Amino acid sequence: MSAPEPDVVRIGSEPAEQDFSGQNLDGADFSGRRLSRADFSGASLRGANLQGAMLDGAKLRLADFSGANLGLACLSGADFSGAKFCEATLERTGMVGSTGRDADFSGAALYYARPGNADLTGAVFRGARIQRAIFRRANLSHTDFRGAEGQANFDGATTDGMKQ
Amino acid sequence: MIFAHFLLEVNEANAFVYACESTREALLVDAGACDPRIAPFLEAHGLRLRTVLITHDHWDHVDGLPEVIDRFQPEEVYSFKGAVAGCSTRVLQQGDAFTLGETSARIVHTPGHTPDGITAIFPGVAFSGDALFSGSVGGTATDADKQRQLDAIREHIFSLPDDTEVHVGHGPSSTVGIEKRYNPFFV
Repeated sequence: MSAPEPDVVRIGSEPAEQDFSGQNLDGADFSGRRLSRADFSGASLRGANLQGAMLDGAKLRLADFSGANLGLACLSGADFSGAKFCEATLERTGMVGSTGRDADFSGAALYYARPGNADLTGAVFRGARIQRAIFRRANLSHTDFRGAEGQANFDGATTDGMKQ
Repeated sequence: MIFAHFLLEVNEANAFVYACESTREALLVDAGACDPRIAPFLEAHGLRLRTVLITHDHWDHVDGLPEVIDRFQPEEVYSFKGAVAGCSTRVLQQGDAFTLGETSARIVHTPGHTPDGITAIFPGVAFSGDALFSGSVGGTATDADKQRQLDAIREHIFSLPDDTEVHVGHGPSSTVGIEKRYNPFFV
């Protein structure tokens, strides 16, 4: 039986702005990696492990993270417009200042996620678990929170046309 | 460098191991609990816990310190105050520094959440305790404390290079550039 491991481990450094755009990376293990400003546009990462990865400023448009683990990852400043996070784990995930227009978080776990100041216009959170998520000053115009579970912080958020 | 993040069971606080790949000397940042995963991680990577740094004297960051000292016998335990959780510590205050293998950290005073808050700054990496969080800041008791905290973060953390990683007392890590640009408490 292997010893229990830390939540995130990162050893050494790697170049920023790596290009994974359009690749099939289903089930890949990117846990703990520093992937700042990397390009995953249109990539498929279904069921991938990105726990604790640093994806600050990354290009994630139209990527598919369905069922992926992004717990404790940093997606802050990233652009994941149109990306799919269906049934993904985004617990304690940093998403500050990110852009996620029309992203799909249906059924995702967003416990204690941090999308403050994010532009999530048109995003779908149907059936998502949002307990303690902090949407402070986020743009949630025309979002769909129907069936979402838990109490989140919406202080200062824009909620025009939000469906609950 | 070798970095490990431990999400503790106590109040969802974080603790971190940060170690020099050359000398295998390791630092533990905060000790809300003596997490049972720390020892096997150190052993698996051939690391020796030489130093413990306490970012501030709150129970969820210090209560495991006696057990950590008993178990790992670190050579140095640092805090702002000289004693925490009944343990003597060496005092680190604004402008002080300490070495970790082939690198070193400088200390900046980041009070507000508590009077004794400090942030350790390594090249490219900062450990901010409960001063700065991803998209937030630590709670404060008064408006004056809040202003003191925001001022200290602006002066000592936001002056670092944008790519500097910031590892915080609760929640996910971030970078200086992201927090400076998007943290709702600053913009």
